[in-house]
Amino acid sequence: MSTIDGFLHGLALAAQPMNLLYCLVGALVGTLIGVLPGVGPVATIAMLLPITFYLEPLQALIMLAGIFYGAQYGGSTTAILVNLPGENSSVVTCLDGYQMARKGRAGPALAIAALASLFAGIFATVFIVLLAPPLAKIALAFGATEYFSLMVLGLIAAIVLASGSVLKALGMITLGLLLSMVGTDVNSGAMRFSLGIPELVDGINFVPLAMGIFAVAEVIRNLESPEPRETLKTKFSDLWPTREDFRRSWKPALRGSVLGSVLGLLPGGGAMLSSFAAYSLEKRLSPNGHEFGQGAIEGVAAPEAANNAGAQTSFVPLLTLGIPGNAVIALMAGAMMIHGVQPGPQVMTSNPGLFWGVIASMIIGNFMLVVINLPMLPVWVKLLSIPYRLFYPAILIFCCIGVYTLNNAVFDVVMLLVFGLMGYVLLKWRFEPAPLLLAFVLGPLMEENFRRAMMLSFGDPRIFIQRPISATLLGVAALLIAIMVLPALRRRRRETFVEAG
Amino acid sequence: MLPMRNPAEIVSGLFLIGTALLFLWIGRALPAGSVTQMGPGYTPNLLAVIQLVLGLAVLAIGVVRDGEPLEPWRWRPVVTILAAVAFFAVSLEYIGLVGAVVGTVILSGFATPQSRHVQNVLLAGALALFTVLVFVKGLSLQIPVWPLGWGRE
Repeated sequence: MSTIDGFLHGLALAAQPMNLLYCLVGALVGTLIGVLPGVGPVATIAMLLPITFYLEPLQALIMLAGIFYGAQYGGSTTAILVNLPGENSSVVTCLDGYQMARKGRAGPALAIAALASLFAGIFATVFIVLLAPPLAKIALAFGATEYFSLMVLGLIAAIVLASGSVLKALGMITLGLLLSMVGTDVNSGAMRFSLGIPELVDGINFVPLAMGIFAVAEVIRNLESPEPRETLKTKFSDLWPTREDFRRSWKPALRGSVLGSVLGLLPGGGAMLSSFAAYSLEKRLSPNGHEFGQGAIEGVAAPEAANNAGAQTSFVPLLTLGIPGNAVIALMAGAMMIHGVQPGPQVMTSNPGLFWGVIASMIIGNFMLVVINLPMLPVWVKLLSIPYRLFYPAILIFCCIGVYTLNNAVFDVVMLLVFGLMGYVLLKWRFEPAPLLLAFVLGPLMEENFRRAMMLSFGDPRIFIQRPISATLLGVAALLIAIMVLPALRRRRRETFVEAG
Repeated sequence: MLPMRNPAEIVSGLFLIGTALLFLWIGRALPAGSVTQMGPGYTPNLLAVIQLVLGLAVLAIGVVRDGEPLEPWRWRPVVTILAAVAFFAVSLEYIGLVGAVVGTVILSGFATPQSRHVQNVLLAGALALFTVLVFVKGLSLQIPVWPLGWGRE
């Protein structure tokens, strides 16, 4: 199937009524949680994983993808109106968006944010359509050795961009891999680390692990400090941007889209990194650089375009290589596996409807978001006045019922509790939980490919550096570690995060 | 006793070391096999040893380098939220979904001093109704709704 045919096929699938409905649901839920501070896409998607059991795989992925990029739209609304980033990726939007709002220009800021996001969404989709098929073709030629090295690179690269200690992040990878090995060993049938618990024979379930670490631990974390009472300090009446706004915004939006699309591909990248990078780039390039921080419209257009583009292109490594680059995408990988679809290059050929359907739904979803969001702004703003103390019991209940219904087993609720505690401990001791989740998802595949590669080479580990592709991949991984450990560069990295956060 | 120059890193190192040793100990009976014929214990042992080394490195850095103090634990939300989840786990199959949801919501309300208890009771009722409608009636999942004995064994 050619790329164009494939995309049109996907568009036809995505436009089917049920798929449109789930796209809409995803976009709405995404916007909702984007608006609400303290409820992010990771926790939400983890919470909704059990429900996706009851959907077709395509419907499930369309909905979950909609939540991810919908959250980017919603996050900017809160950032602009109340100076409170609904999502991490809209932190920089606060800088100029809120200043615009204080000058009575909240309407144009919101409109430009939405339109820049729409433009970026379309741009990123075209980018994915052009890039994904060749990438998948390359990956199809990979053998066990190359695959193992690619996964090593994916995991290492994912921690480069994470903040905090590199050694601790590496420790999270090993712990995630170890946890993925609980249960029956596929090769020998031996029981590993199951402690005689029959429910662990099939391994640790992905859903309670993800929900515990990301949703339950986050609830506890949010409850630690008293809730800030935010009231709407701004009014907006005139929504439409002026001609001047458009003239100043289109170039930043374009640059933001390009930058976001590229950075979204990187493991560990995605929406947040993209928005920060786009903002600092624009600040340097723009002739109005001195206005940044005082309500420059470029400072809204660029990061908003970038975070949406980055959110979308971060699907590429999953759909083409089978490697999730961030926690949200790892959850998508989990959702695919729940439906018996192994993420990787074969998805495009064995399951073209799923592959192209998800990609095409992104265009539709982005249009929906703009059409729904601008008229519904007053509703979202109202929602902001609902306090967190009324949300978190609902989050807990949905988590509990969700994991219970996986196997109708109380044991899974107990696992939720265990991983909730673990997630809190990790947060307290400043471990990044995302690498653990990525490693947990990749663990079984990595072990299998490692075994195969070693069998092929008769136990000679040099095979990983004798094969050119594998050697290159591992070389890049080694380079990344070296860069992270070098003190000068580490200081730079810390500064970037200080500046960013 | 060494001065605790970087307690957060020291605790983190010990955590990595502890979990690595735990995996090594639980998996001690798993045959490792050989490189060409890997047994079930080969990769876990390898990973646990790597993690042990990482943990020791983190610990060493924590001892040598200054760092930030440990963040204090806020016990109230931790204990309350985990107790609420535990209550759900223990009660669901005995008292059914309605009772479990109401109990869990009311219990979780104690996690923050900002809760209003009347509001929480109302919220509990609303969530119980909502979950029964969505999960039991809507998605027809096999979840017990009422306590044991009320029409079910």
